[in-house]
Amino acid sequence: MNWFTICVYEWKHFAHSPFKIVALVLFIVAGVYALHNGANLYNRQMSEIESINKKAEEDYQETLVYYEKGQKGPEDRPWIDVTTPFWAVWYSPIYHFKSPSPAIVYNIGQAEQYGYYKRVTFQSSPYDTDMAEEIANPERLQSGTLDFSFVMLYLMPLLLLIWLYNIKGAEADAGFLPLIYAQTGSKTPWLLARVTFYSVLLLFVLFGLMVYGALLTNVFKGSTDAFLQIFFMASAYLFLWIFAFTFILFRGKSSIGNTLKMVGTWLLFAFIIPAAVHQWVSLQHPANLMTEFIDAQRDEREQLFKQPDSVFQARLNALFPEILNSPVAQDSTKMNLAMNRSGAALTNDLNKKSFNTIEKSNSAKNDLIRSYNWFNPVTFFQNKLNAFSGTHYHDYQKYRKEIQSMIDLQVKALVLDTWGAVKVDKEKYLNYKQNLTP
Amino acid sequence: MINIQQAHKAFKGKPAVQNLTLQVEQGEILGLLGANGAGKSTTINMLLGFLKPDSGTISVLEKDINQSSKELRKHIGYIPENVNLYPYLSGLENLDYFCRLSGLKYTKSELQEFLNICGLPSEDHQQKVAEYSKGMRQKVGIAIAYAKKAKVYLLDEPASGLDPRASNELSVLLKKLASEGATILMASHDIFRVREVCHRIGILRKGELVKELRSEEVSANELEKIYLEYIQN
Amino acid sequence: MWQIIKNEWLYLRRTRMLVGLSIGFVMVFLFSIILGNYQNQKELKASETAKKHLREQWESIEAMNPHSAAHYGTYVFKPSNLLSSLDEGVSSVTGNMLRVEGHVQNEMVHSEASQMQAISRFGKLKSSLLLKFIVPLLLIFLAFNAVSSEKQSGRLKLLVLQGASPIRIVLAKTVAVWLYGVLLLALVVATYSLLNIQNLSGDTLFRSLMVFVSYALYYFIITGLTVFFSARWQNSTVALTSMLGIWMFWSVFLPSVLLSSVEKWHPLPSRNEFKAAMREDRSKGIDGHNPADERGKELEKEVMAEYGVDSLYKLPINYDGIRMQADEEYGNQVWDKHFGNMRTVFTQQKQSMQIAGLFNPFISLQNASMGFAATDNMHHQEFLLQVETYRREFIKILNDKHAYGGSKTGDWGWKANNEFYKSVPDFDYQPTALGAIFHHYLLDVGLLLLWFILTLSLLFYGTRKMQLV
Repeated sequence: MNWFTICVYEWKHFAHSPFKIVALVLFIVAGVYALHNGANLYNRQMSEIESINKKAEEDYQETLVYYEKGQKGPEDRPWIDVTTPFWAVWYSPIYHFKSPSPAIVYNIGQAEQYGYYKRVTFQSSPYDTDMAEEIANPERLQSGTLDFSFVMLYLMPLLLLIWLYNIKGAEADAGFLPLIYAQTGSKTPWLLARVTFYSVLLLFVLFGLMVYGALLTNVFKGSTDAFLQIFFMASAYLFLWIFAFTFILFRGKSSIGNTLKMVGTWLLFAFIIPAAVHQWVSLQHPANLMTEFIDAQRDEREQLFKQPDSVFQARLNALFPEILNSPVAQDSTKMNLAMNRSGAALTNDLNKKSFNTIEKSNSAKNDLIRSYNWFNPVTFFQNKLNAFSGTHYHDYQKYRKEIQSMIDLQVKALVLDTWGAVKVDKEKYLNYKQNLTP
Repeated sequence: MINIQQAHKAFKGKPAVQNLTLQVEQGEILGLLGANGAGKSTTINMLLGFLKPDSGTISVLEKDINQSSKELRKHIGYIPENVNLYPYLSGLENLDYFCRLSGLKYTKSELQEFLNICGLPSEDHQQKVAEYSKGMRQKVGIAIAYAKKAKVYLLDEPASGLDPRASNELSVLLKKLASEGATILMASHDIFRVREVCHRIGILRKGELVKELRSEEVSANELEKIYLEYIQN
Repeated sequence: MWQIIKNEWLYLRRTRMLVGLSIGFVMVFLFSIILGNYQNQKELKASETAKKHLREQWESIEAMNPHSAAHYGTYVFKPSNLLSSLDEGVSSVTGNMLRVEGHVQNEMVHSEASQMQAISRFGKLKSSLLLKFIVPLLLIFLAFNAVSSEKQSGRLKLLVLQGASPIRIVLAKTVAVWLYGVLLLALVVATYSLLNIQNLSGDTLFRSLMVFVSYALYYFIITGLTVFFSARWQNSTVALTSMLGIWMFWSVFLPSVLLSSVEKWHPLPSRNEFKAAMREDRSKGIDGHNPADERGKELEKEVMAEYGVDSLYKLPINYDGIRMQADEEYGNQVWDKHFGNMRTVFTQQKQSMQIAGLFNPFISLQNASMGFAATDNMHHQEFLLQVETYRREFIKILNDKHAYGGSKTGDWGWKANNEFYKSVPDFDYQPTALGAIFHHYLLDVGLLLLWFILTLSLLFYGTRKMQLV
């Protein structure tokens, strides 16, 4: 019997097994539902970004009117003067977004654990409270959204299990396995052909579902690479399970024994090992209570502003040597105000130092997690998928770094223009918009 | 003691037992001969109350089995073709367990005595049933039925898997039980054993009792001839 | 019945694979308990150290303007409770610190989950993970051929003939396997209690008891259903695969779908909408920082009339403190409205999830497990409310000091001394007693009981329909 004939007969086995067909239907339903969950998140984030951009543009236009009408700011806030760099930069509604990748349709990853938009000012920090994740029910967050990666990483092995559990076992249970061996000569090609049938079927199903997902968020418009990478990962992951299950089938002697071993393997890799690693990592590196950040934000800041002017000035000069010869530096009557307004530069510097400690501690956790990947494949694949769909920890770390660069840019503009005694007009304000926005 | 009148039973429209009428008196052993699918096991299952006849009546100890099955089962001993016991228990433990389920509590020596009577050597009593041969399991099954001290015994191919010696011991035991007043119905393929043990013999074909004869009336060879004749017809 | 139960236990004891599996299980349980407990202690210590550190900073304020102190503020860390080492609930996703300051009600930030890459979709190796997901599977494996193997081997006929009625056989098999799960459960609860014997309170014991009861009911449901399938179907494999299907559907698939669905049925506002709505409402009140604010004029008149003066500067007190407190109280109404709405949505979502227990007892178990371990969203919201109550008291103390501490209106340079700052109370979290909120979980326990009764009925019904031949 050649492989093709075995596959044809396998199709007959499959078609006569309602349990296996129901499992496939359920898998497809779960896949479609999961893809829609991903697409919903994509659409929600995109529309939120659009509405924030719209509001920012309105705010911009409002400030431009002050320049056009020669006003210094809102009438009920007389202390505001948008012709000074301090208020002009403050009144620049600059946002930074972590726009979702269309590939988020396949994998929500860690997207729901972080914020994806931020109003950036010179007083901001990438760890501000407005960087918190979108409002959501924590019980759902804890349980995780049913996204396509969940279907792929957790339900796909189960579908495979349901399809494969009685291969060879059913024949052994019914007592005609020796007959099969006698007829085929060797069990290997017979068993492999049967497993191959289901593997190919599952690959087609995965591909079909992924194409359907691609249509929901236009993945093929610019994210084809992500599609291919994710499909490649899905195939690799599928083959990993096929390898494990085929090994069990080769060695197994009954359907029940095989089922128990397959479920045990799934439990071990999907539940026990990731959970044990999670527990171990948490023990080694408990949740950071951010006390360094709190100290930088509060105590060190208090200490900073208690320093004599000379010390304050020296620290500012060290950060921006350009101001030494600036017009304000030559005019002692204006220096006090300029120094007050440049405080953000020094607090920003304090913040950055505290972030280093936080990032280092997070990085140590990530290194530890990675070091266990060799026996923790589900976590490895999950993080790979997160990376391809732009929802990995590192993507949000990059987003934080970009925010920090924008803060640095604003601080620099604030300090140099304040000490340079720049008077901000409409043109300069428009320049800020252009130069301080990524 | 066993009375079947015009019993009929079909599965999915296919008759397994048809117009079956037979009686077995106290102290009598009736052997039922028949090919595979002749209705022997269905008849025994109906007598055990596990299957209800579609029509006709079945009574044991003068009571309708389907109306008093719970009460009657206390008086019925049953030996199936394959006695599957709990493999993780020893023969002695299995016997004790099944006796206790019937509400009978025997001492260890009494249990051992039952096993000895049924032909299981003492050195095997404490062994796990997982290590038993089919015949050894069968002997424990016989001991379970015997220890119940039942009034009626239903045996479905009881000698299956037994070696000739054990088979012979079973015959002796059954005769002893009958002489003590037990009513016994035994289904079997084994023409010679049936001829040797039973007082009367019935031949079943396609669920019908096609021939009934007394064993002293025929020799083993004649019985085989009659049996084959009826089966082939 | 006792004989059958005893025999089932003999089977467990004498089957080498099961003994090995049980030993392995107990080891993993002990491992998870010890690690969970150790982590709990470590977290508690870290949060106490951080709390102490911040309090020291606060108490070391030599002299500061009270309003500056309101901006300086403080931070609250969510302490992990004793039972969180049993079921972590929402703790790893809700953040662990909350800034307490003037003018604004903050939210918890910097969750543990946001501090590292993804690891486990089902949380840490806490006992609850094993009790919720793995033990039921083990019970399925133990029970799937409880009756079908008796049928397939023909032993069932013999058992019935020996006087064991089918219902007795089915119930005894169910109870025997169920007891195995209950024993593992008891081991977990007992080990926790022993490890924390010095910190056990009446409330913790009550909670532990309810955790025990909820899991015990769920185990009966799982075991009973498995035995039911085993009795109804001739084939053990069909019984096993059916129950595995139910387990996957109940424990893996349906909770995710339901949790996503309830968020769609009762939508929460986006953070941007939430903030914008609060900003909008807040802008309608007094501006505590703006003396020129028109809405504050009314209050000015009231205060001046009360003291019989015609200028704020003639007041014996500092009007700025009164204005800021008025601003704060208006803000509180805004927070109450918006955070209150959010809590209402959370409650609606919770209720929908609880009702979903009608179709899936695992949901009821999950709700009960987190709830009785005090780690669900409801307890989290209770904690946030306590912090907000503290924040309001904290800010009022500072504003009152600003108003009545001896300074005059406009005197922003005035500073309260160290004695005052030391006298400001620290946040003292009072864990919510289960008795006070037990009614919230009645539905979960009730539905588990309903499923228990349903399973019992199925067992009786299944036995009636069971074919012996």
